[in-house]
Amino acid sequence: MKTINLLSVLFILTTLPVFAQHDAGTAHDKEGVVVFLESMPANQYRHLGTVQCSAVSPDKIEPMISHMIKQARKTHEEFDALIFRSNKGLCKADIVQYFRDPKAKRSRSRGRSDEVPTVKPEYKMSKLRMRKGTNLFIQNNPTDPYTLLGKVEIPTKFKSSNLESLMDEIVRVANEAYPDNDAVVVVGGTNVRKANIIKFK
Amino acid sequence: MTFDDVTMPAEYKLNEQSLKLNGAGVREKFFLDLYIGGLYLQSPSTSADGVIKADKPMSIKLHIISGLIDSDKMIDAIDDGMDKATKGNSSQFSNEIIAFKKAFEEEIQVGDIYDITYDPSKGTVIYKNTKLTTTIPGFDFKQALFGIWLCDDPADEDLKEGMLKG
Repeated sequence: MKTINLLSVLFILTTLPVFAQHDAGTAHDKEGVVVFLESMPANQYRHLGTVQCSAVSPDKIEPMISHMIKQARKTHEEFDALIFRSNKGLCKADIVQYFRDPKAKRSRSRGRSDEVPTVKPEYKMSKLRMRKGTNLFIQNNPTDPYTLLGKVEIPTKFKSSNLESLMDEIVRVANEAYPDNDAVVVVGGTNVRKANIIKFK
Repeated sequence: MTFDDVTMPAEYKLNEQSLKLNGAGVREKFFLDLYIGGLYLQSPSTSADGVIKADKPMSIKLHIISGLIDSDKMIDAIDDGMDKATKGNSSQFSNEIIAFKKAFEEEIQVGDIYDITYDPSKGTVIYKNTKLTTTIPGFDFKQALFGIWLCDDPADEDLKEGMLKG
């Protein structure tokens, strides 16, 4: 009897369709620091501390991220990434560093100030947090190949600048326009108001 | 009026006078909601200038909804707001500003409610969670202070619009 049950379980498991999650991404980096927003590092890291914004902070996403990097550098000379916390806007982030390979050479340049700091590709590997059942790539590009279904934009009458509300709204607009989408990729520099809607191949 | 599960009371009692909620909105910054602000007046108004210049009882209620507001941020924001409200001439109110900031020196927590009231007979009176914290005499200061939320370069345009629903 036990053998039959075991065989049944195995049969069910092997015949279940495999759903690919497509939640792997390449997080953007800024000034030599990887930015995780609605995503987490795919590789192991250690937590160095947290950083908060100051009272006088920019009101656009990209300058705000730069502001947070600057704030983090006040207390931590070397770190690899900032992980922005959910429900805290862009005002609170965890400062993290990847575990180093002792044999590896240091890749971040501290030489000439005009040199663009380089970031190891593996540091940018990310895993998405799903948002209301939708893959939302923000400050992040999908790793898996995809086709573009179309583009969407949040209507101008939607005035909130609350990040959570903006992300919910772009997902809502995307799902309404393209119900069979696989993911929403927020266009940089638009304060989460524009997105490309994609289907994975 | 309800925002982020916070309902602004329709009325505010300032001494013996009953003030009505003129309008309310959300103060957003850092890409999150910081507090709900409501303006209470004797009679409805949609004029920012009219409210600022009125030597009549009125009140602004701030209901804190974010744990990311702390005393330092609030105090920095007051400096910034007063500077904008007075078009860079806030130094004339330096003593009053110091007194006003004292109301925000204690630790700020989610759920805290500040009532910034103006009574022509007393001046600006601030309450934290219904407890009186500071009284600052002077009509000129009241005009500058209410300007933080209602001037041409307000703390938050949408909040200003919400407060002036009338």
